[in-house]
Amino acid sequence: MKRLSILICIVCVVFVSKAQTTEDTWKQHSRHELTLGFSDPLLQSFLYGVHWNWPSFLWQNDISIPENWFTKDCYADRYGMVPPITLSYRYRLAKWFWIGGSVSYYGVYHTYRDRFSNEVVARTNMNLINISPTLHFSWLNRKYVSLYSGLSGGYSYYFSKIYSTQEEKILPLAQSYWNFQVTAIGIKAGKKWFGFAEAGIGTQSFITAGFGYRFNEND
Amino acid sequence: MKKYIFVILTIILISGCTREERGQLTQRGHEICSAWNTAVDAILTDDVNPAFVLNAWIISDEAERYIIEDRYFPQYKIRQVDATTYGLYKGAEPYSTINTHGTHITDEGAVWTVTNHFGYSYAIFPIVEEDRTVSITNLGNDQWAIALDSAGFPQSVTHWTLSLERFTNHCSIFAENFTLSGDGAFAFPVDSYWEMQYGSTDEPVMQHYTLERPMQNDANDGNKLKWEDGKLSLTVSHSGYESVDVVMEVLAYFHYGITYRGVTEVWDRIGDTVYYE
Repeated sequence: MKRLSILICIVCVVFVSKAQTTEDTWKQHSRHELTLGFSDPLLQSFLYGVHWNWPSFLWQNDISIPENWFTKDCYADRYGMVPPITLSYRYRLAKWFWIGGSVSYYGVYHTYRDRFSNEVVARTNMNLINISPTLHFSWLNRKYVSLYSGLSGGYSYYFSKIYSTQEEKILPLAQSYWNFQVTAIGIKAGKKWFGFAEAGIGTQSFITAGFGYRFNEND
Repeated sequence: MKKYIFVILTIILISGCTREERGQLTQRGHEICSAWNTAVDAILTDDVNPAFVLNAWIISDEAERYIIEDRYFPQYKIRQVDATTYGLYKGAEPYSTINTHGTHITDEGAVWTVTNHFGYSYAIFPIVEEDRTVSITNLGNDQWAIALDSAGFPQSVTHWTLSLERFTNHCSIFAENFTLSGDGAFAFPVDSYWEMQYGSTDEPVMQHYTLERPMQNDANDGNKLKWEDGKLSLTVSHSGYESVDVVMEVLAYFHYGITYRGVTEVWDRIGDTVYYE
């Protein structure tokens, strides 16, 4: 097993170095990239929960607790979610090295209704915006396909509001914190227009896929 | 490429929207009745019935005792603590202690007391002292008064009369047709989360109830409570809130009509009632 692992590493190193050392005119290639990616919301859902924002004045989602027998009897009628959407820009400094930045958005929206009258009693929304500088390492470059890894770290701003239609309450909440994202492996395929998919871990997601556009200043 | 982009966008937009069911309107009433049933089931199953079974064990010969132990106390050992007191032990830990006061439970006027040392282990159970004590008094004519001794917490009380149709097996009450009548109150402790959110309070959530039509147990294999008739009316109250009235009518086995806020719906399960045929 150990020998096999060493062999695989050697093959990869040779393969990648061959890919990187191949003399080509990479500077004539597009040096700017714009991408729009859509990520799985698993981590965000885990962090914030699907019902993270049950309004406290409707606190009744666990009726096995005797106190909750007396609170307003509501149900979460509609749950809307915008999975993490990321807009990125990257500039190619070297054949294998890109720098750039990204902005992503994730939103969860709820509507709560009275179980008996079915009237809307509250609406809530939660919004999360991540802004991060990014580094990409393009370690395999072919004509139509490239493989890459990446790192990013930045700042997240989280804000939410609760609207109660009956009690006319608006309860805003805002906080901010650091974020990070490590892309273990990603693949891009295409020419000017291309598709991409990547896997990693971080505050954004595990899996991201989307499309992008390459261009040069002269285009 | 544009086609794939369109497909990706569509899938994401569709998967991002879900909707919860409105659910049954009486689900809170059902929960309230379930809490009541869980408490009643615990008292009858863990306190009252072991006393009747122990009575059978005491009057049996050695061979019959083995059968009773295997059937009704498979996880416990019976130990005589003193001349009138017996203990059910789980390992070296006493699960409950039963004082016969030197009588048989079938003797008219006999008073037995059952102290359950794990009486407070339920996540949701009326407030009683750490060791829950139930008194069983023989009223004659196969009737027994069941009283929850809540000296430390007087909010929780039971004024029940247990009436056996025919006490033929002289052992488990669940193997007989019996009725439970009376009234009482259960005081449910406030949740720690509530305390965390709104400040500590010792005032419990109260549940006052009356059995308008006696709850009737259908004779079964002897290990479980099996309601098949009866009508319960209860009111729950808590400081600062409007009290809530709930009615539960047992229409048949696995058919419970719950009336809450003027709406009646039928449920097929209540509290800890176990599914079996």
